[in-house]
Amino acid sequence: MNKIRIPWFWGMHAEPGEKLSVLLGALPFVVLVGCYLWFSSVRNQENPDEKLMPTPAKIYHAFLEVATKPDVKTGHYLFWNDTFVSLKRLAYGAGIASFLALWFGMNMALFKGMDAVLMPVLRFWNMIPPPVILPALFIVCGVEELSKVVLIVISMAPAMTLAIYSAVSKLAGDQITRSFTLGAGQLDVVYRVILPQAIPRLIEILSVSLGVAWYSLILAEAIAASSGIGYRIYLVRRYLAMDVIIPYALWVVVLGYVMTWLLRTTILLCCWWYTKQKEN
Amino acid sequence: MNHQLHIENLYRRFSDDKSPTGARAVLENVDLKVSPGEFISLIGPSGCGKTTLLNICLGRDLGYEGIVRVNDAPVGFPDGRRGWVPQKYGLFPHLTVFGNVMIGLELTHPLWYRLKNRKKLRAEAMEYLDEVDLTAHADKYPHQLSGGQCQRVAIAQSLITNPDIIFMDEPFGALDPSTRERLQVFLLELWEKRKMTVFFVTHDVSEAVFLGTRLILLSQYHTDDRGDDHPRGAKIVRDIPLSGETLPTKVKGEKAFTERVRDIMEGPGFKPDHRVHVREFDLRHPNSFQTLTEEEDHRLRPKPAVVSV
Repeated sequence: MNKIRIPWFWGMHAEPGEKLSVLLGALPFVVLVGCYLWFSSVRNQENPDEKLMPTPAKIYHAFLEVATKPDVKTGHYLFWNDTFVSLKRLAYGAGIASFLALWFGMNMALFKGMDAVLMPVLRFWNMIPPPVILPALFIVCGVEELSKVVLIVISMAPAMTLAIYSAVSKLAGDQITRSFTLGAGQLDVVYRVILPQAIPRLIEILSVSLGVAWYSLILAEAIAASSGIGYRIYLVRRYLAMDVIIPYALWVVVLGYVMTWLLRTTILLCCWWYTKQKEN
Repeated sequence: MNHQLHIENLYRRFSDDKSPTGARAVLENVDLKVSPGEFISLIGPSGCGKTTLLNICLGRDLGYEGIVRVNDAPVGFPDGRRGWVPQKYGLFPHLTVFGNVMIGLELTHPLWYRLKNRKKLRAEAMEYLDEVDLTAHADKYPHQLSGGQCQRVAIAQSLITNPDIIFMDEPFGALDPSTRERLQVFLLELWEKRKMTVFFVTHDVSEAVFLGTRLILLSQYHTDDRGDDHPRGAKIVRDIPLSGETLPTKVKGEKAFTERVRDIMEGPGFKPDHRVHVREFDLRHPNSFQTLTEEEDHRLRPKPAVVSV
């Protein structure tokens, strides 16, 4: 044989191939789920009232309980109501944060004066861990919807603004001169040249920031709320109801996947030049 | 006389920690006048400050000293009177080819005019696309085009706003030779038709000779009365007229053409080992002029009054 063999797994030169990659990626999941099933079946045999590691049957039953039967007190289907309430807060928070980040990030990158005024404040704000001001938010905004939305905005906006700022700064320079030589005014540069190019970047940054958004949402709901995913999980914790916590946690993951997919599709549909352009 | 561009005693210094004075002059006492309709080829060794000079004329670099006037007004921030075609990345990636040409019209006309004359403006943009032979690619995005096509769009984009003077910074530098040759002919045809002033920076001497009506060599390789070791910035070492008529590409192979190119490449200022004194610069072009300082030319020093005893 006069051709070297490419290793399939070990080393930097390895090329696992497409099918094998799928198998390899599935492996940790299989191991985790397998371990869980084994431990839970052992523990359930020892103690039929086992709370910590419920069997899949128990989880399914608990899920049906919250998802298909209306709650006695409120008449809501708890699971769906919680999802709706949480997503609404998330949408408001992420929407406002995106708008602020886009507008401030873009203008600070393009107007040096605005940059000089706002950048120190932004950096200062970016240093504050959001949970630290949560109590203050509850005091100022009350424990209703407003404080939750504000917390999401406060935790997402500074990092997103900085990310937009650096993305736009990279665009600027040559493109700005180019626009001016074509007769553009300053507002033309901001809204006709830079804005359309900043939007796909905003969507990308938003999909990365969704983790932070969920984090602050669950936090705020855990502390003060009367419905929502975070509220439910922290409520049932008191009864050690792992059979409710587990489907809720998995549901959050599913929602995360769907949101990321939606954002990616938006970029592909609305700004497909953007994805192509990066390959060059 | 009305000059499109008037540069006098232009200095551009950049801070440099290594130098004893703390600054390094890139351009040193540059003088240049450009009349409307001239096609200027600017050549020079790499690092001589060609792009710096161009940035100053465009208004991108305002850290210069001296006089720089465009259309008899001090040079200001970049605007629609001065077009610009950079070597690369001239186009807006989020617009189609048509959109890239159209944006010039959209930016220069107020909204009410655009709404009223939508069809007329679109037709005009298509005309320009036709002129650069790209109507078939109107709906493509810049990333789908080849380098030569991109440069053609960039030229159409710059021309549609009808600038008084168009600055091109090695626009064909990244292209393969055959595309390059086609675009050179294409650019000459456009220039013949519209007679705009072109300021064309290149590092390719045959391109410069082929295109220009006037050739300017900017170079730091020269001497003056300050002594040979004195650090120097670039000056216009050579400023000569080239024949003004459009020549077919074939002329490139001819003896007269190759001799012209060789004469420039082997002439003073092109290479570090062939320097010429500031008093002996080859400034044959009728528009060229030179202002020297007393340090550069000792003969300009006021003679000490002869005191008779």
